[in-house]
Amino acid sequence: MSILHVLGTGASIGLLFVVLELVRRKHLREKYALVWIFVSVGLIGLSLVPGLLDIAAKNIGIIYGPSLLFMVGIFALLILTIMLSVIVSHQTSRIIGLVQQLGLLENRVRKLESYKPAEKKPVDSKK
Amino acid sequence: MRNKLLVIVPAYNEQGSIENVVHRICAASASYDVLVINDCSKDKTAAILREMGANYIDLPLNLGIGGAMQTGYLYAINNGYDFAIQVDGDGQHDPREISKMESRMQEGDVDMVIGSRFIKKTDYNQKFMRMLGINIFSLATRFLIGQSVKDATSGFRLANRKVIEYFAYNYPSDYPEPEVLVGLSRRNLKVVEIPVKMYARESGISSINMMKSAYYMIKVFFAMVIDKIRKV
Repeated sequence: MSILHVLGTGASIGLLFVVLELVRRKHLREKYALVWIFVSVGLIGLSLVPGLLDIAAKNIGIIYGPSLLFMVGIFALLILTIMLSVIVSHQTSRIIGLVQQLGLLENRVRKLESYKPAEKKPVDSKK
Repeated sequence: MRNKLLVIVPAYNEQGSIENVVHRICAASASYDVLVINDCSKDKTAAILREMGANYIDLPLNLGIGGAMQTGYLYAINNGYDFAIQVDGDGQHDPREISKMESRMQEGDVDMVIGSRFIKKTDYNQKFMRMLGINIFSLATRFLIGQSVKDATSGFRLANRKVIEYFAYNYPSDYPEPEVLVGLSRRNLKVVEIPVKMYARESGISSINMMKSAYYMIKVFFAMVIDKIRKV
Protein backbone atom coordinates (compact mmCIF):
# COMPACT_ATOMS: atom_id res chain seq x y z
CA MET A 1 0.00 0.00 0.00
CA SER A 2 1.51 3.31 -1.02
CA ILE A 3 1.73 6.40 1.13
CA LEU A 4 -0.95 7.98 -1.03
CA HIS A 5 -3.38 5.19 -0.17
CA VAL A 6 -2.62 5.51 3.50
CA LEU A 7 -3.21 9.26 3.30
CA GLY A 8 -6.42 8.82 1.34
CA THR A 9 -7.76 6.21 3.72
CA GLY A 10 -6.76 8.35 6.72
CA ALA A 11 -8.50 11.42 5.31
CA SER A 12 -11.68 9.46 4.55
CA ILE A 13 -11.78 7.99 8.04
CA GLY A 14 -11.07 11.49 9.42
CA LEU A 15 -14.09 12.82 7.49
CA LEU A 16 -16.32 10.13 8.99
CA PHE A 17 -15.12 11.04 12.48
CA VAL A 18 -15.65 14.75 11.92
CA VAL A 19 -19.23 14.07 10.80
CA LEU A 20 -19.94 11.80 13.76
CA GLU A 21 -18.42 14.31 16.17
CA LEU A 22 -20.53 17.14 14.71
CA VAL A 23 -23.64 15.04 15.26
CA ARG A 24 -22.56 14.16 18.79
CA ARG A 25 -22.09 17.85 19.64
CA LYS A 26 -25.45 18.66 18.05
CA HIS A 27 -23.87 20.96 15.45
CA LEU A 28 -25.29 18.73 12.73
CA ARG A 29 -28.70 17.12 12.67
CA GLU A 30 -28.88 13.38 12.06
CA LYS A 31 -31.13 14.07 9.08
CA TYR A 32 -28.42 16.05 7.31
CA ALA A 33 -25.54 13.89 8.60
CA LEU A 34 -26.68 10.72 6.85
CA VAL A 35 -25.63 11.87 3.38
CA TRP A 36 -22.16 12.77 4.67
CA ILE A 37 -21.79 9.44 6.42
CA PHE A 38 -22.58 7.65 3.15
CA VAL A 39 -20.06 9.85 1.33
CA SER A 40 -17.28 9.19 3.82
CA VAL A 41 -17.97 5.43 3.90
CA GLY A 42 -17.83 5.41 0.10
CA LEU A 43 -14.54 7.29 0.14
CA ILE A 44 -13.10 4.86 2.69
CA GLY A 45 -14.09 1.97 0.45
CA LEU A 46 -12.44 3.57 -2.59
CA SER A 47 -9.25 4.25 -0.64
CA LEU A 48 -9.01 0.75 0.83
CA VAL A 49 -9.57 -1.02 -2.50
CA PRO A 50 -7.37 0.92 -4.97
CA GLY A 51 -8.50 -0.97 -8.06
CA LEU A 52 -12.20 -0.32 -7.44
CA LEU A 53 -12.29 3.12 -9.05
CA ASP A 54 -10.47 1.98 -12.19
CA ILE A 55 -12.69 -1.08 -12.60
CA ALA A 56 -15.81 1.04 -12.24
CA ALA A 57 -14.46 3.60 -14.71
CA LYS A 58 -13.52 1.01 -17.32
CA ASN A 59 -16.93 -0.59 -17.08
CA ILE A 60 -18.70 2.61 -18.13
CA GLY A 61 -16.11 3.51 -20.74
CA ILE A 62 -14.00 6.03 -18.84
CA ILE A 63 -10.29 5.45 -19.41
CA TYR A 64 -8.90 7.58 -16.59
CA GLY A 65 -10.31 6.43 -13.21
CA PRO A 66 -10.03 9.69 -11.26
CA SER A 67 -12.12 11.55 -13.85
CA LEU A 68 -15.04 9.31 -12.85
CA LEU A 69 -14.46 10.45 -9.28
CA PHE A 70 -14.47 14.10 -10.37
CA MET A 71 -17.60 13.66 -12.43
CA VAL A 72 -19.54 11.90 -9.70
CA GLY A 73 -18.18 14.28 -7.07
CA ILE A 74 -19.10 17.48 -8.90
CA PHE A 75 -22.53 16.16 -9.76
CA ALA A 76 -23.20 15.07 -6.19
CA LEU A 77 -22.11 18.46 -4.82
CA LEU A 78 -24.34 20.22 -7.34
CA ILE A 79 -27.38 18.22 -6.23
CA LEU A 80 -26.47 18.78 -2.59
CA THR A 81 -26.19 22.57 -2.94
CA ILE A 82 -29.53 22.74 -4.74
CA MET A 83 -31.04 20.77 -1.89
CA LEU A 84 -29.50 23.19 0.58
CA SER A 85 -30.94 26.17 -1.34
CA VAL A 86 -34.36 24.54 -1.09
CA ILE A 87 -33.92 24.02 2.64
CA VAL A 88 -32.81 27.64 3.12
CA SER A 89 -35.82 28.90 1.13
CA HIS A 90 -38.18 26.77 3.18
CA GLN A 91 -36.66 28.04 6.41
CA THR A 92 -36.87 31.65 5.19
CA SER A 93 -40.63 31.25 4.69
CA ARG A 94 -40.99 29.75 8.13
CA ILE A 95 -38.96 32.52 9.79
CA ILE A 96 -41.02 35.20 8.02
CA GLY A 97 -44.21 33.55 9.30
CA LEU A 98 -42.85 33.37 12.83
CA VAL A 99 -41.71 37.00 12.85
CA GLN A 100 -45.13 38.13 11.61
CA GLN A 101 -47.01 36.13 14.25
CA LEU A 102 -44.64 37.42 16.92
CA GLY A 103 -45.29 41.01 15.83
CA LEU A 104 -49.06 40.47 15.79
CA LEU A 105 -49.00 38.89 19.24
CA GLU A 106 -46.81 41.62 20.70
CA ASN A 107 -49.26 44.22 19.37
CA ARG A 108 -52.15 42.33 20.96
CA VAL A 109 -50.41 41.88 24.31
CA ARG A 110 -49.50 45.57 24.40
CA LYS A 111 -53.14 46.52 23.82
CA LEU A 112 -54.40 44.07 26.44
CA GLU A 113 -51.91 45.35 29.01
CA SER A 114 -52.85 48.96 28.47
CA TYR A 115 -56.54 48.11 28.70
CA LYS A 116 -57.84 49.19 32.07
CA PRO A 117 -61.37 48.03 32.86
CA ALA A 118 -63.43 50.72 34.55
CA GLU A 119 -63.06 50.07 38.26
CA LYS A 120 -66.27 49.44 40.09
CA LYS A 121 -66.87 52.05 42.68
CA PRO A 122 -67.67 50.59 46.07
CA VAL A 123 -71.22 51.24 47.15
CA ASP A 124 -70.18 52.67 50.48
CA SER A 125 -67.38 55.03 49.75
CA LYS A 126 -65.22 55.64 52.79
CA LYS A 127 -64.38 59.10 51.64
CA MET B 1 -73.26 50.38 6.50
CA ARG B 2 -69.74 51.73 6.25
CA ASN B 3 -66.97 49.36 5.34
CA LYS B 4 -64.23 48.91 7.90
CA LEU B 5 -60.98 50.24 6.43
CA LEU B 6 -57.47 49.64 7.71
CA VAL B 7 -54.62 51.89 6.66
CA ILE B 8 -51.39 49.90 6.71
CA VAL B 9 -48.25 52.01 6.93
CA PRO B 10 -45.03 50.08 6.34
CA ALA B 11 -42.12 51.98 7.88
CA TYR B 12 -38.40 51.35 7.80
CA ASN B 13 -36.20 54.10 9.23
CA GLU B 14 -38.84 56.78 8.83
CA GLN B 15 -38.24 58.79 12.01
CA GLY B 16 -38.38 62.02 10.00
CA SER B 17 -41.78 61.46 8.44
CA ILE B 18 -43.74 58.79 10.30
CA GLU B 19 -45.42 61.09 12.82
CA ASN B 20 -46.61 63.42 10.07
CA VAL B 21 -47.83 60.55 7.94
CA VAL B 22 -49.96 59.11 10.76
CA HIS B 23 -51.36 62.55 11.63
CA ARG B 24 -52.19 63.24 7.99
CA ILE B 25 -54.06 59.92 7.71
CA CYS B 26 -56.09 60.66 10.84
CA ALA B 27 -56.75 64.18 9.56
CA ALA B 28 -58.00 62.80 6.23
CA SER B 29 -60.79 60.88 7.98
CA ALA B 30 -61.48 59.98 11.58
CA SER B 31 -63.02 56.71 10.43
CA TYR B 32 -59.71 55.19 9.27
CA ASP B 33 -57.92 52.78 11.56
CA VAL B 34 -54.16 53.11 11.21
CA LEU B 35 -51.66 50.32 11.70
CA VAL B 36 -47.96 51.11 11.37
CA ILE B 37 -45.63 48.19 10.71
CA ASN B 38 -42.21 49.10 12.03
CA ASP B 39 -39.97 46.79 10.03
CA CYS B 40 -37.19 46.63 12.64
CA SER B 41 -36.05 50.21 11.99
CA LYS B 42 -32.59 51.12 13.20
CA ASP B 43 -33.57 54.71 14.00
CA LYS B 44 -36.09 56.18 16.45
CA THR B 45 -39.22 55.11 14.50
CA ALA B 46 -40.34 52.70 17.25
CA ALA B 47 -39.82 55.24 20.02
CA ILE B 48 -41.81 57.88 18.11
CA LEU B 49 -44.68 55.44 17.55
CA ARG B 50 -44.74 54.47 21.23
CA GLU B 51 -44.62 58.11 22.29
CA MET B 52 -47.53 59.16 20.09
CA GLY B 53 -49.63 56.16 21.15
CA ALA B 54 -50.06 54.89 17.62
CA ASN B 55 -51.33 51.41 16.84
CA TYR B 56 -48.19 49.73 15.61
CA ILE B 57 -46.51 46.38 15.16
CA ASP B 58 -42.84 46.04 15.96
CA LEU B 59 -41.30 43.30 13.83
CA PRO B 60 -38.37 41.69 15.68
CA LEU B 61 -36.47 41.13 12.40
CA ASN B 62 -36.36 43.14 9.20
CA LEU B 63 -38.61 41.40 6.67
CA GLY B 64 -38.63 43.93 3.84
CA ILE B 65 -41.66 45.74 2.47
CA GLY B 66 -43.47 42.55 1.42
CA GLY B 67 -43.16 40.77 4.74
CA ALA B 68 -44.19 43.94 6.55
CA MET B 69 -47.26 44.48 4.36
CA GLN B 70 -48.27 40.85 4.73
CA THR B 71 -48.24 41.31 8.51
CA GLY B 72 -50.71 44.13 7.99
CA TYR B 73 -52.95 41.95 5.82
CA LEU B 74 -52.90 39.22 8.48
CA TYR B 75 -53.90 41.84 11.05
CA ALA B 76 -56.73 42.96 8.74
CA ILE B 77 -58.04 39.38 8.59
CA ASN B 78 -57.73 38.84 12.35
CA ASN B 79 -59.68 42.02 13.02
CA GLY B 80 -62.36 41.68 10.38
CA TYR B 81 -61.55 44.56 8.06
CA ASP B 82 -63.32 44.82 4.71
CA PHE B 83 -60.70 46.99 3.04
CA ALA B 84 -56.98 47.57 3.58
CA ILE B 85 -54.88 50.25 1.97
CA GLN B 86 -51.12 50.68 1.91
CA VAL B 87 -49.82 54.17 2.61
CA ASP B 88 -46.03 54.39 2.63
CA GLY B 89 -44.28 55.68 5.73
CA ASP B 90 -42.09 58.07 3.76
CA GLY B 91 -45.04 60.34 3.01
CA GLN B 92 -45.13 59.97 -0.77
CA HIS B 93 -48.77 58.86 -0.72
CA ASP B 94 -51.39 61.50 0.04
CA PRO B 95 -54.02 60.14 2.48
CA ARG B 96 -56.57 62.61 1.12
CA GLU B 97 -56.73 60.44 -1.99
CA ILE B 98 -57.93 57.42 0.00
CA SER B 99 -61.59 58.43 -0.13
CA LYS B 100 -61.39 58.69 -3.91
CA MET B 101 -59.98 55.17 -4.11
CA GLU B 102 -62.56 53.93 -1.62
CA SER B 103 -65.48 55.25 -3.64
CA ARG B 104 -64.07 53.61 -6.75
CA MET B 105 -63.91 50.34 -4.83
CA GLN B 106 -67.47 50.75 -3.58
CA GLU B 107 -68.73 50.62 -7.14
CA GLY B 108 -68.22 46.92 -6.52
CA ASP B 109 -66.83 45.74 -9.84
CA VAL B 110 -63.16 45.67 -8.82
CA ASP B 111 -61.10 43.95 -6.13
CA MET B 112 -58.09 46.24 -5.96
CA VAL B 113 -57.63 49.93 -6.69
CA ILE B 114 -54.14 51.23 -7.48
CA GLY B 115 -53.36 54.89 -7.03
CA SER B 116 -51.24 55.77 -10.04
CA ARG B 117 -48.65 58.48 -9.74
CA PHE B 118 -48.26 61.58 -11.75
CA ILE B 119 -44.58 62.10 -11.44
CA LYS B 120 -43.74 65.53 -10.12
CA LYS B 121 -40.67 67.36 -11.30
CA THR B 122 -37.50 65.43 -10.67
CA ASP B 123 -34.22 65.73 -12.47
CA TYR B 124 -34.26 64.41 -15.99
CA ASN B 125 -31.94 61.44 -15.53
CA GLN B 126 -33.87 59.97 -12.64
CA LYS B 127 -37.14 60.66 -14.31
CA PHE B 128 -35.97 58.96 -17.47
CA MET B 129 -34.70 55.86 -15.64
CA ARG B 130 -37.82 55.62 -13.56
CA MET B 131 -40.12 56.12 -16.51
CA LEU B 132 -38.19 53.49 -18.42
CA GLY B 133 -38.67 51.00 -15.58
CA ILE B 134 -42.34 51.82 -15.18
CA ASN B 135 -42.94 51.52 -18.93
CA ILE B 136 -41.19 48.18 -19.10
CA PHE B 137 -43.42 46.88 -16.32
CA SER B 138 -46.44 48.30 -18.05
CA LEU B 139 -45.52 46.30 -21.14
CA ALA B 140 -44.85 43.22 -19.03
CA THR B 141 -48.27 43.38 -17.42
CA ARG B 142 -49.92 43.81 -20.81
CA PHE B 143 -48.08 40.75 -22.04
CA LEU B 144 -48.59 38.59 -18.95
CA ILE B 145 -52.06 39.52 -17.73
CA GLY B 146 -53.54 41.21 -20.77
CA GLN B 147 -54.07 44.45 -18.92
CA SER B 148 -51.73 47.38 -19.17
CA VAL B 149 -51.10 48.59 -15.64
CA LYS B 150 -49.45 51.97 -16.13
CA ASP B 151 -47.96 52.25 -12.67
CA ALA B 152 -47.27 48.66 -11.68
CA THR B 153 -44.74 49.69 -9.05
CA SER B 154 -47.09 51.93 -7.09
CA GLY B 155 -47.56 50.74 -3.53
CA PHE B 156 -50.60 52.95 -2.99
CA ARG B 157 -53.18 50.16 -3.22
CA LEU B 158 -56.60 49.55 -1.77
CA ALA B 159 -57.53 45.89 -1.42
CA ASN B 160 -60.91 44.33 -0.69
CA ARG B 161 -61.48 41.34 1.53
CA LYS B 162 -60.86 38.79 -1.23
CA VAL B 163 -57.51 40.35 -2.09
CA ILE B 164 -56.58 40.71 1.59
CA GLU B 165 -57.21 37.00 2.07
CA TYR B 166 -55.03 36.19 -0.93
CA PHE B 167 -52.20 38.53 0.14
CA ALA B 168 -52.20 37.29 3.72
CA TYR B 169 -50.88 33.96 2.52
CA ASN B 170 -49.24 34.85 -0.82
CA TYR B 171 -47.06 37.91 -0.81
CA PRO B 172 -43.47 38.16 -2.03
CA SER B 173 -41.05 39.56 0.53
CA ASP B 174 -39.22 41.99 -1.72
CA TYR B 175 -40.42 44.10 -4.64
CA PRO B 176 -43.96 42.70 -4.40
CA GLU B 177 -45.92 45.36 -6.32
CA PRO B 178 -45.63 44.32 -9.99
CA GLU B 179 -45.38 40.64 -9.16
CA VAL B 180 -48.68 40.23 -7.31
CA LEU B 181 -50.59 41.59 -10.32
CA VAL B 182 -49.99 38.28 -12.09
CA GLY B 183 -51.26 36.23 -9.14
CA LEU B 184 -54.35 38.43 -8.85
CA SER B 185 -55.14 38.14 -12.53
CA ARG B 186 -54.83 34.38 -12.42
CA ARG B 187 -57.40 34.29 -9.64
CA ASN B 188 -59.72 36.53 -11.63
CA LEU B 189 -59.38 39.35 -9.11
CA LYS B 190 -59.92 42.63 -10.91
CA VAL B 191 -57.46 45.51 -10.65
CA VAL B 192 -58.13 49.09 -11.69
CA GLU B 193 -55.92 52.19 -11.66
CA ILE B 194 -57.03 55.68 -10.83
CA PRO B 195 -54.81 58.75 -11.00
CA VAL B 196 -53.68 60.24 -7.69
CA LYS B 197 -51.27 62.93 -6.67
CA MET B 198 -48.02 61.66 -5.23
CA TYR B 199 -45.13 63.42 -3.66
CA ALA B 200 -41.74 62.74 -5.18
CA ARG B 201 -39.28 61.05 -2.94
CA GLU B 202 -35.90 62.68 -3.18
CA SER B 203 -33.05 60.26 -3.79
CA GLY B 204 -29.93 60.38 -5.88
CA ILE B 205 -29.01 57.76 -8.40
CA SER B 206 -25.71 55.98 -7.80
CA SER B 207 -24.02 53.02 -9.40
CA ILE B 208 -25.21 50.85 -6.52
CA ASN B 209 -28.75 51.92 -7.29
CA MET B 210 -28.20 50.99 -10.91
CA MET B 211 -27.05 47.54 -9.86
CA LYS B 212 -30.00 47.20 -7.54
CA SER B 213 -32.39 48.31 -10.27
CA ALA B 214 -31.00 45.72 -12.64
CA TYR B 215 -31.37 43.01 -10.01
CA TYR B 216 -34.85 44.30 -9.21
CA MET B 217 -35.99 44.13 -12.83
CA ILE B 218 -34.61 40.64 -13.41
CA LYS B 219 -35.93 39.24 -10.13
CA VAL B 220 -39.42 40.67 -10.63
CA PHE B 221 -39.63 39.56 -14.27
CA PHE B 222 -38.59 36.07 -13.31
CA ALA B 223 -41.13 35.97 -10.48
CA MET B 224 -43.89 37.27 -12.75
CA VAL B 225 -43.25 34.62 -15.37
CA ILE B 226 -43.19 31.91 -12.69
CA ASP B 227 -46.47 33.21 -11.29
CA LYS B 228 -47.91 32.96 -14.76
CA ILE B 229 -47.12 29.25 -15.01
CA ARG B 230 -47.71 28.35 -11.34
CA LYS B 231 -50.65 26.21 -10.37
CA VAL B 232 -53.47 28.35 -9.01
